[in-house]
Amino acid sequence: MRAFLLKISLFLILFALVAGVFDTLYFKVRMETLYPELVHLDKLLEEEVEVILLGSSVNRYTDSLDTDKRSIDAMLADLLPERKVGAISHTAYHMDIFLELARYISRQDHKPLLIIPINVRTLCPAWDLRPTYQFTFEKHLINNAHLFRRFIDMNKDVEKELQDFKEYPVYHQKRLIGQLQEFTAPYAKLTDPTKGFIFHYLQPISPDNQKIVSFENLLSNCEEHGIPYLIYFTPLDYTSAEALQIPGFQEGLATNLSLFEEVIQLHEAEDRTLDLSFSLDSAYFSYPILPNEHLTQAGRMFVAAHLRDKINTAKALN
Amino acid sequence: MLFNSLAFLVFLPWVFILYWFGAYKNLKLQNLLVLISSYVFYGWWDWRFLGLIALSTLVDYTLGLTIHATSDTSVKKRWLWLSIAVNLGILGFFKYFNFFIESWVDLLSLLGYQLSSTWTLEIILPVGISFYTFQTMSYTIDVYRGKLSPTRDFISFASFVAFFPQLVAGPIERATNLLPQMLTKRTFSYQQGMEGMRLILWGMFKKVVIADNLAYSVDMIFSTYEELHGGILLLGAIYFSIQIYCDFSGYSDIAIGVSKLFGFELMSNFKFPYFSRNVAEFWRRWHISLSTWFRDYLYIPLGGSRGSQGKALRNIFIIFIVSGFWHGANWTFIMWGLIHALMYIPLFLGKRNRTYLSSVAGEGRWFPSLQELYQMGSTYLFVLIGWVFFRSETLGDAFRYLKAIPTTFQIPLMYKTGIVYVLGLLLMEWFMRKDERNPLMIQPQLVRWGIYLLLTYLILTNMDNRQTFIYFQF
Repeated sequence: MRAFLLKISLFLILFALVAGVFDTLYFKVRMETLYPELVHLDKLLEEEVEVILLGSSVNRYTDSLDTDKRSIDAMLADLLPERKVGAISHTAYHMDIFLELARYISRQDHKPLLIIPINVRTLCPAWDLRPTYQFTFEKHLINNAHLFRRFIDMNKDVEKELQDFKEYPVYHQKRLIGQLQEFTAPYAKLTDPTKGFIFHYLQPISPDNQKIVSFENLLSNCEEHGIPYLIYFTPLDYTSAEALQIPGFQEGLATNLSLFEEVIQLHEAEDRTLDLSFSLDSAYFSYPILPNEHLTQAGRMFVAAHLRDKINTAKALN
Repeated sequence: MLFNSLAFLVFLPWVFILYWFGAYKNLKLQNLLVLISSYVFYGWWDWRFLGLIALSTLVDYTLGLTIHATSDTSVKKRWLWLSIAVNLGILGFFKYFNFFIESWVDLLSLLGYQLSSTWTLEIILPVGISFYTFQTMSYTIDVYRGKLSPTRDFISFASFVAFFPQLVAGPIERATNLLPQMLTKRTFSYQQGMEGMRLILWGMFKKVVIADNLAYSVDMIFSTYEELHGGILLLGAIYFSIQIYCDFSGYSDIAIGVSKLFGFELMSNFKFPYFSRNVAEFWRRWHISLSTWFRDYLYIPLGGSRGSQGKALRNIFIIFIVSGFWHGANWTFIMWGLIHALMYIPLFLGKRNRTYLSSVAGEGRWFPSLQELYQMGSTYLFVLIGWVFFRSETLGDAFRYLKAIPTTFQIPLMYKTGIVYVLGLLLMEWFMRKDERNPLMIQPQLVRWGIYLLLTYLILTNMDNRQTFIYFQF
């Protein structure tokens, strides 16, 4: 028995060492395929890009009728020819992964201005809790996590997590109106825009919601490491919601937005904040899914122009 | 609890430590620990169905003693039939109730009678029910035949029924093999322990790295087969053949390996079946514990190959069709069994079904001869046709799938990556083909340790696409 246990222990120690080396080599070789966004971020930092926009699909989405297919950061780059502008964006990116990226940046020499979008729909459980939107593997790659750490995360009870997600309660004004799986793809195709607005914007959010906590940590991290930042609230299609006359829409939305506003006040970052929530009507939005914050080219240009103005005028950024 | 889960990775060392250090000196305590661990292992999935295992255990324990105590053969036989009725009754209800109702309704509908409502039930199939039911039945049958004396030690008997390494997907152990081991003091052997670890590693690699990675392509291809080219469909069938083999033989290897860690020797369940030179050899190498179970407890009692040729052929059909039906309540499984019967019968009639009883392809050589290559290739091709039926949802799907294969042979790159797994596996198994119980015995030792490290790394990094074992559903 002793020889057996010794051999197994020796193997485990050897494995821990070899796996570490193997991991490093493997990720070095395959990072371009595994996580191209991180490779792109390294490139931006190496080129000492001055402004980096952290974004979701809202940054990159284009309408089929758009003649100008540029993303918001590309438009901003053209509007700010005197500064190098880039972006790290990916579908469904949110505050948790922005925080990890900001921490990564804080470990590097170059400290660019970060543009942090607040999309209030990231608080919607379909985005906030969707297992595939947690970007666990990406977070591990950003943090160079050891194989065993990744292994433990990989072995969560995926089925239970998915079941909990599907059965998550959906409310309207404190009244239970169903389960998440009745409101979101791929479980249900929502054709009723009223239900869509209620589901996406009006769900009760606790102040200790992970996205709010991440936002707070993100600001703290930036301040601690001398990374300048600019916050902007993405435009919301409030006119469509108003047309639907959804009871309590304005109040519900304002309550959820205020959770971010409180963090901004706490960090005294009002002068570095651009609130575009109620600045565009429905003509500026594009809708493969109802509702969302995807913008037409005019909408993207509107955001880019406002970001340019804020960057040029905000005292804290100059 | 799945073997390929973090829970099991924690569970196994704890049970191992308690077993060898806490309960080492006391056989009864060791068996009690095996029993409790087995119930925890099973209850991790759904504790409600532990009652079924307990019921099966109680019934067969009592009837085993009753049969043995009775001298009157007809009374013995009555008790035996009671045991079979209870076990098959439970199995039949949970596994086949809806199938029989639906088939009955379909038959009536064919005859022109339309039923307005059917009595199907929402039944959850308890994991491993087909495995432990057959295992306990082997006990009462062997007691009835006088091949085994019943045990009065209830804990040991309950441990035999619920022995966690093989409880949910086999190998289906015989009472004559496992029960005496339960009743004898086990001692730890270094050699046995190392063999066990190697089997666990190899089984995990087959399951986690090969089967689970192929599962994506297989699911995609079989669910959208009507839109795909013939070449992709052929690849899909090949991938499934490797997936199911690695999934199931991987489980068996882990089960045998884990048992070795606790001082038990289980029977081999797979012996590199895709190197078989005819379908008879395939059945001596594929799911051995089930095929020998049917041979000993069904085929031989029916008369086997004795008597007229017609009767022998009938028996062959019965054993293959029942074997298909054992896998599930679907006509596709019955067809799968039928196809194997049709492949087996020409060998039986030509008296070639008992060739290659002990040799392996390429015996004493590095490579197979051309004749062996042809034999292995043609056997595999027929087996592959069977797998299409086995994997398809309905008979119609299987026929359409097979019909679409001989069309265009365009294979998009995304499906080609699986070929690496297929060829890699076949190559490794070819060099290990002489001893299924001792894989990865590669020389020199340095290379062997390198392979251990590589396989462990691949297992850990591939565990994120974890899938359950296919044979759990049977």
